[in-house]
Amino acid sequence: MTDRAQPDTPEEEILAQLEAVSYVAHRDACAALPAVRAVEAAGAARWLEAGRELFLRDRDAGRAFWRGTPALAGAFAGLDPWLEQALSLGRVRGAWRAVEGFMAQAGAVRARWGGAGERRWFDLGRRWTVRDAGAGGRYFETPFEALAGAGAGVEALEALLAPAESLGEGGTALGAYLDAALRLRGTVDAGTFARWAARGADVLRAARTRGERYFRLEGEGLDSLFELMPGFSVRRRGRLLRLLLEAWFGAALPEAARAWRESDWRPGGGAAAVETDGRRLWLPAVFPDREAAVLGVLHAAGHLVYGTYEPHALAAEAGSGGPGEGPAEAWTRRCASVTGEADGRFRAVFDLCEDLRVDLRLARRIPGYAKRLQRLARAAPRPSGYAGRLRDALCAGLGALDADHPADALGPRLAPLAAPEATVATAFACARAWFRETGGPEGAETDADGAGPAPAAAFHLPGRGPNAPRPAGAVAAAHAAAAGAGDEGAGEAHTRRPAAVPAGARAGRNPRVESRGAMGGSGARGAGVGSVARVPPSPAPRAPRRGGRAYPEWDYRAQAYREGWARVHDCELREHDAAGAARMWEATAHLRRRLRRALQRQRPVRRAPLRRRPDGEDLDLDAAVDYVVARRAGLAPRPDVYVRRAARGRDTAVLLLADLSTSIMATTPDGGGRVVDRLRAALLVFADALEEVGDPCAVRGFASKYHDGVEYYRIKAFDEPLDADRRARIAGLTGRLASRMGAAIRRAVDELRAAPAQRRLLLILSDGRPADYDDGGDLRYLHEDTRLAMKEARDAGIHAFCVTLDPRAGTYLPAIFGVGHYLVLEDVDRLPQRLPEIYLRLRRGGAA
Amino acid sequence: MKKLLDRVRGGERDAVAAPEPGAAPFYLPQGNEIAVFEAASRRRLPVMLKGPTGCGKTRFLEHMAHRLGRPLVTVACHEDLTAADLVGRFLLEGDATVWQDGPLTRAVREGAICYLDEIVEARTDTTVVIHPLTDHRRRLPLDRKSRVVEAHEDFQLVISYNPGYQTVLKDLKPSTKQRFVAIAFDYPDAAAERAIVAQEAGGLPAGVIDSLVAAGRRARRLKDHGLEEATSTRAMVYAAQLMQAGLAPAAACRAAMVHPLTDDPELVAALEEIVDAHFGPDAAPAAPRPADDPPA
Ligand SMILES: Nc1ncnc2c1ncn2[C@@H]1O[C@H](COP(=O)(O)OP(=O)(O)OP(=O)(O)O)[C@@H](O)[C@H]1O
Ligand SMILES: [Mg+2]
Repeated sequence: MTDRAQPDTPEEEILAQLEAVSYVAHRDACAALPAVRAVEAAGAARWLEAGRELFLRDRDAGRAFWRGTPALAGAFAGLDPWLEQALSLGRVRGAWRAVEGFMAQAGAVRARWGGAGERRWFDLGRRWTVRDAGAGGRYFETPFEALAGAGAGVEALEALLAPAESLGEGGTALGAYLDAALRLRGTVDAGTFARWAARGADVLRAARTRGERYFRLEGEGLDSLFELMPGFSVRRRGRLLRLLLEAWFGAALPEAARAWRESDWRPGGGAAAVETDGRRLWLPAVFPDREAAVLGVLHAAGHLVYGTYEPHALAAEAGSGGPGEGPAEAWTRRCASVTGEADGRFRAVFDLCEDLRVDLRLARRIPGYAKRLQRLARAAPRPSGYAGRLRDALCAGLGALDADHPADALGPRLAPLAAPEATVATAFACARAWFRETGGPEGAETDADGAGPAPAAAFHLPGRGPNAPRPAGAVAAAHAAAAGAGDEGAGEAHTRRPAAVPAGARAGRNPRVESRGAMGGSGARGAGVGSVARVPPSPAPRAPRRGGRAYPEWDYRAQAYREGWARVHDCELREHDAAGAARMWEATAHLRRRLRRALQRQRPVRRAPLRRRPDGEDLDLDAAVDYVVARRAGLAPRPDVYVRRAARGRDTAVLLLADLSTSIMATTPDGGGRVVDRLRAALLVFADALEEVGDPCAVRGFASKYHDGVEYYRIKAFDEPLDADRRARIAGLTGRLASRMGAAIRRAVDELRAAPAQRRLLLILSDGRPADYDDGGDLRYLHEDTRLAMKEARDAGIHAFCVTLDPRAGTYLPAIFGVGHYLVLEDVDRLPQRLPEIYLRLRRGGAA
Repeated sequence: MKKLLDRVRGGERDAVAAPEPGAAPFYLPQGNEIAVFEAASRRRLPVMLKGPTGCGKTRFLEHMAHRLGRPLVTVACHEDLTAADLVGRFLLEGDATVWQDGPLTRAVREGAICYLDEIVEARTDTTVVIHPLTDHRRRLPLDRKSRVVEAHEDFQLVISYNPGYQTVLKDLKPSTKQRFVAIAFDYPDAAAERAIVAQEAGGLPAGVIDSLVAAGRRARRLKDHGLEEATSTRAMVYAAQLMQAGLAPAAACRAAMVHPLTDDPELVAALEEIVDAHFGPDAAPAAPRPADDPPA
């Protein structure tokens, strides 16, 4: 005790120094000192020294050290090894958060995993801290049990971080990695995660910022995760869902709903489920499995077909809102009219009733639906609490789907749902009565945990979610993000219509693209020129463009040609992308090889026999008989009595004319890329396949701005090989301007006329209707002109065929090209493969 | 009649022969095609049967030939079919050359119905030889022999034609098409299709036939969504016949209605979903016709 009065013991000295520097530090140190002395009397000096060093390096670290000491000293029954550990962390620059986290958790870690476990936990964290202090802070701050996963040991933690060992130092990648790891744990299995992280490490090595974005789950990071995740990938297999919607609903399902988009669902963001705004669907990129995907999508479509979101269906039940009330707000208001805002339980009960009503209808439409859904429900884990009770009620209700008398099987409370005339209002009334009487499924009123919406909504089966429409804002935002080039849905049409600007003032933009907001179109492609119709046709004065070739244009209003009205300019494409071409060449190698093999197999059959030859593989029966007859008659005929199957040369020439207007820059509906990428690949594969076939082939593109500004781009001419230069041109293609199709067709027909073949095919590749800046919004004008251009082509002996990416082409193409002279390709991704296939089918039976 | 046919199977018979005695081959009319054909026959007008594959064109003609008591000569056209194959050629016989009539010439001489199936597949020179047969001249020039055959008064030319995009490059010239009376066929409606399948594969329970036809018509909706040819009535008849032969329904449907139609994996998956919905382990036992399912 006497020592303490001496200011020159090391302890006193340090305390004095601290007091001089910081009142708080001194106070904290004094407060913790007894706890240190209690476990290790001789260690006080060592402890104080360490604390001082930490404090002088970083006040926050020091403070954390003093304050954390009593707990750690107790937990470790001494100062080792945590004192050294804290110090070594504190010596890393900027690591105060790591020290704080360490001090706060080390005791618990030791208690849970023992001394050795604690050491491994620390070593791992220190390595991270050294590499990136921020990431170290994140590591130590994160509850260790959360890092390792519930109930798992330190090994799980090591496994989680192992893929990051190769990530290198510095930057924010480690922190992002850790966030991603934590977010994905539990949603994504360890193997998938490891593969994903390994890919990310590669990306990071190649380019740091790209790698950091990868781990933040942006762009390719997310794409790669979706690709690796087990389950049903909508990106890869979405077409199956589309086909099923088509088969089961056909025209009953509005076009808009069939052109669904990818939602912004991310792993870790709750269950993957179909969403809707009441008109169209949003699908997560990955469903847990195929059953969840198929049944979820059918169910969601059922809501649309059976009127869940009919705007006025609930007006009688729950009143109508003010003008401008969106569907989402209306839904909320109606639910709130029963229970008040905060209570998610009524919403869930209403969902349950409405889902049952829709499922009952679906079970009548789709054989086997009932059994499949029941099986899905049995296999899905039952949630706890209120949601669990709801699930039980749902399962009981699903039992009625295939009952002989569904109404009886449902019981009196839900029986009205089975009536053929039941609507969403019936479901609302059922739910309200049920909720008011008993608060929902029996026993629910004793539940404490049912107040929040999230727990109640957990009753939904995999692939399905709450029925409330997505709020318009979210829809618009997600939509804009997905659409890139300006595709927009009709839901917001009235608010989004472009201002009426004279056509001339909108130079450089495609009227098709601009008009989308007002069109109520669905797909990224092919939206019409509706809004242009509302634009007063008052073009600003504009210098006419001279040069080029003049072509007539058909004016249906005058029932006459406007001579020389259209001017077509032959243009070179300036953009070349040699690197892109090399990449594409590589990426399409497999497809091209397959096509070439198929062609080689097909080729011998393709040869038409040459008759009456002086030599050949077979006898020509007719010629031989003629020969003998002539000989008998005493003549000396030439012995041309053989058939040869040699290729008879070029019997078909094809000119591929691609619409290069702005709309090709849109993203594909499945969110997997842009239309232009598929287009480039398609042209490349097509030209390559044609080289193999040996048919003369030219590839052209066109775009237009005003009647005198139709551009006709040279991509590959008839006599040019598909060399590196032409490939680079294809890879550099971009969209621009509008599409005055008739003029381009007339130009192409001119070129085809001179083509070296007996049969000539004009293959048009389009993604929307003909439209131009100066068509005054009169859809019919350019349609009629294109139709006439087609007729001229036919008269010139040229066959024409149109392949379009516009799902709604069925409404205008038959009139332009004629039934059977066009094909709608719904799946843009398959364009590269389909285009050559279509050509080969067209030319099959090539004997002229 | 079937027995009779069986007796002659494997044997040879003349291509131009009077119809077998007995009932006409089963054909269920879809509309007024029988009346149109009879009228055209009376006025000796050539007829064009248009329609997708497997919708009953050939069967219709067999039925009509029988009904009218005329022989029927069928030529399946293909891309190597030449005018000589149709009209005829010289052959050597001993020391002499003899002319042998082709099937068209025989029909013209003997007063048969000549059916050129899938005419667009044939080489274009073949379409030229039929021109003089299709107008008021009704004669067939035999160029090699420098002769002309005037058509028998019962001779009638019928061609079939499947309008699809595959034939764009080979489309008949409008001038050719307009020489024919055209009858447009399509797949029959659901009730008729059930009746046809039931008749062609006798003895299957009505419930099975209902499901089969429902599945087939469902699958047909995928035409133009990747399916180039829709599920035909013929495909359904085949499936029914496989079931009749003891194959499990789902397997029969796969074999007759899924795999022949497409190799595209997603389409196969979608078609199989449809088959399984009707015949898979979850399929409901032939439920009454759904009230709110509009006929496909
Ligand atoms: N209306 C019908 N009446 C009776 N059987 C029919 C009818 N329609 C189709 N079938 C059945 O469909 C089968 C196929 O019909 P058919 O061979 O006549 O088709 P098609 O139209 O000639 O086809 P393709 O164009 O491929 O030659 C027939 O064998 C028959 O079993
Ligand atoms: Mg629902």
